[in-house]
Amino acid sequence: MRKLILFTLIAFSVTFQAFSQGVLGKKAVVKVNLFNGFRMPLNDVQFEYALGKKFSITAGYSLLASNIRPEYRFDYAYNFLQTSSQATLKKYGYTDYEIGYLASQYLDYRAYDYDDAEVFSFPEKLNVQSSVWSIGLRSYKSSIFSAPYGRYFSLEYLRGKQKVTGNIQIPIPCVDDFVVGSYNSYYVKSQRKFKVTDREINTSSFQMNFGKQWVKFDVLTIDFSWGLVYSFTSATNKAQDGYIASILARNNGANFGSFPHTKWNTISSTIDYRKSALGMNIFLRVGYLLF
Amino acid sequence: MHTDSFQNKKSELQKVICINPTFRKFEDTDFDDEDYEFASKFKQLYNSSIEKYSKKNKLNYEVYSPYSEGEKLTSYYKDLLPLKSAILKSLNVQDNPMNEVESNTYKKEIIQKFVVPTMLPAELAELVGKYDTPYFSLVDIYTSNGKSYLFHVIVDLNLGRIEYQEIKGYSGLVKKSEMKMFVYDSFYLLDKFFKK
Repeated sequence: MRKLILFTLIAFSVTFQAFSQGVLGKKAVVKVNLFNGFRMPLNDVQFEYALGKKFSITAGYSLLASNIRPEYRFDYAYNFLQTSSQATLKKYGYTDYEIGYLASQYLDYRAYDYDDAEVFSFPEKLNVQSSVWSIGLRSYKSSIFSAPYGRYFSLEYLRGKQKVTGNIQIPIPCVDDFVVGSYNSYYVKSQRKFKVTDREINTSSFQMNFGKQWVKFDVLTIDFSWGLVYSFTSATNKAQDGYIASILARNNGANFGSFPHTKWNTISSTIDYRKSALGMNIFLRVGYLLF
Repeated sequence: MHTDSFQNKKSELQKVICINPTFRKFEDTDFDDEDYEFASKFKQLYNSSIEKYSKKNKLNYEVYSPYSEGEKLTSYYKDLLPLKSAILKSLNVQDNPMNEVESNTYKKEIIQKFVVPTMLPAELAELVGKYDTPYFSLVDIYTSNGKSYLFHVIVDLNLGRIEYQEIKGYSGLVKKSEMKMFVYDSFYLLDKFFKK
């Protein structure tokens, strides 16, 4: 909350000008996103208020349910190894020798060659329910007409949670006895299923968008924007959620690729399995000029 | 994009006679080829926008145009058309953004040699008594392929000079929504100026 107040104060001090009349005297717009939910557009709502002639602030909330069929790479399985306890590994049929060998190898991140990563696709869809808050600042280009009209550049910060339900299938990596010691010594032994219900994954993103907002019929606004998103996912539960966080990193509007930050934290002796991802997103919002 | 405005006197604005608000669209930047069909479509909407947004900003604007009826029509041709011509002439000798052309050396020389204050003929002061106000205005929009201009001028015939002038340039074609915003913003600004 303190951050929100500080952000608003900075935005006000930067943007206040004497000449600020909005579009036809109206400065506030409420918008719904059509791209994210044609079926349920009211679930993704954004509010925009013009602070000055060239700036506006936005605040939004989206509550979306989607079924995703993620692709996952072998590094997710690798992540599973890292985040699973010894008991869990034994449950999946690992021998003591394998656990010992993997423990000595997989904590050193360089041991895994990502170029050779295999890609698997999930046989079943996962249900993801996300609720995300956002706050942002927009800078409008036109100096003749007042915000919120014209071309703009926006910066947005999003934060929220994603609840995952469904059957997750993990390829279990194993050590090949014949090539022990080489970097490419893992192979997929078998695939195991386990069910997750309402598993919570934290997500936060930074968005940088370019767009244009039109005003039609005095009250209707059409807002089209596209840009880059950099998102982080992190799990609260350390058991298998790191693995789920890895999957969601690629399905959180970040379609260019994901970057694992999995590493051994020497201070807390735990594994940090935060994931980040980069992607491009497009929005088409239809709104109403309120006042 | 350009904004230019000035105001000579801060006083309360009484009734203003608005002389034939004009919306003109040109196909080229030399203002030769005019699109009358497009402009005629906008004409009614433009006039109604002026009336609507002037009222919204509590300004008393009374529109006289060739489309008026009865006495208004007669007085438009008899009194207001010569006044409009005089105002346009005084604007033409100004060094304002609308008069900018690619090679404006010749024009600048003329302005330097023959520049006159933006004074209006003294005999036009007779209109003050007839219309019960010294304030007369032009609110016109010119749009071409490259640029669009709005100019909003108010003259005070008691003093024979331009009292308020606003010129806005926009790099693009003015469509319905932009036209409305142009007009609204202009009256909003005018209201703010005269209420300070």
